[in-house]
Amino acid sequence: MAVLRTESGKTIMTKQEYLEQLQRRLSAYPEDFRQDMLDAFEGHFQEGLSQGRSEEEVMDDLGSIDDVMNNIDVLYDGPKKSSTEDNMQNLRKNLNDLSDTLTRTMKSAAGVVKDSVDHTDWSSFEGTTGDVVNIKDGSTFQAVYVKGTDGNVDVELVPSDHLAYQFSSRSSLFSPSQAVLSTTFNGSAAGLVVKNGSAKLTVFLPETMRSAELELSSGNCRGKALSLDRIDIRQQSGDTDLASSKIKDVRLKSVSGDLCIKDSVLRTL
Amino acid sequence: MDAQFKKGVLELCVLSQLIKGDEYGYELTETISNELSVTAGTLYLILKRLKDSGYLNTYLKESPNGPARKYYHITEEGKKYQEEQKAEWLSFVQKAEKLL
Repeated sequence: MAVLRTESGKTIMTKQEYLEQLQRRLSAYPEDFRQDMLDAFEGHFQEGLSQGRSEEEVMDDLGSIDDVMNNIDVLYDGPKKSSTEDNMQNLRKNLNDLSDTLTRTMKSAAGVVKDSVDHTDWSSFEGTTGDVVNIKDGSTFQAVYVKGTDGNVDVELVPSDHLAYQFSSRSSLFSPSQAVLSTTFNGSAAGLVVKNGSAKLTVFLPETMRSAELELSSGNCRGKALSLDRIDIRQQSGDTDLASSKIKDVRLKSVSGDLCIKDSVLRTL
Repeated sequence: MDAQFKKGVLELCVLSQLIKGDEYGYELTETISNELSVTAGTLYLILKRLKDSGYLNTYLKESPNGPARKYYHITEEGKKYQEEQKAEWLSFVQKAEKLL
């Protein structure tokens, strides 16, 4: 990571000159950004000088102004110019995000699946990420199989009055691809397979579902108030957390994760 | 190093540091600069970005010597983001290790 620290001190500046130059070069950026940056740099000078360090040493800490300017586009990636247009656009985006989050939170908190996408052909994921997808005639399935080994797939099992799932792909800098969910069925067994990336998958299990099998690499698995005949969880590095559940046959295997079972009735065969 | 990757690592380091408790800029940048070769100026960019994303907020608190210090505090959203990014990072490292 040495690339971030460029050689400084080639031209000796004073604190005053440094801050003035920074202010000038930030002038094309939004007021809020410029002010926060100047405050931070001034605060750094104040703190450093009060600890008996020289202005030059503090400038060395902060890095050259060229260095800061070169990093702005990559590390800050904020809007370059503040216009009312930009501000409005950001505001609209934030409001949309907020409303999406609220809808999702309310759905998952209540465990209900209103306004959800009906999913009848049971062939592949059709909803938008975050939608709760109902399975028609879900009570004909007695076993569910979940596999997520391409990325970090967190799985949550939730008791419900009918079979449904909620899938959110989660890309990140370390696994930038969007995960894809595909579903399969075989007689009374339903299969949910997450491929190609990281995601969060909530599976709503009706009483008729008797068995669950999970195969995950680095995701965590959580289950609460489940009533099953059998659960089989195989993980590489994720954690398993089961609470307040009644399960007859439990098989857990984790290479380096933590296993936690609380307030549950288990009968291992 | 790839700039986006660098940004991800630095964001994760900053958030992980703040999970342990609120810190003011000088203190925070010093801790991280001691471990990684990164200038305080660059870290202030990261801090501003995280603040604008709602992962951090700031408040002023009197200091015993001199003017008030700006403290950084991680939000609930920030904690959640840190947890996710940390899991991604660990899974990335695990895979990379197999290749080393």
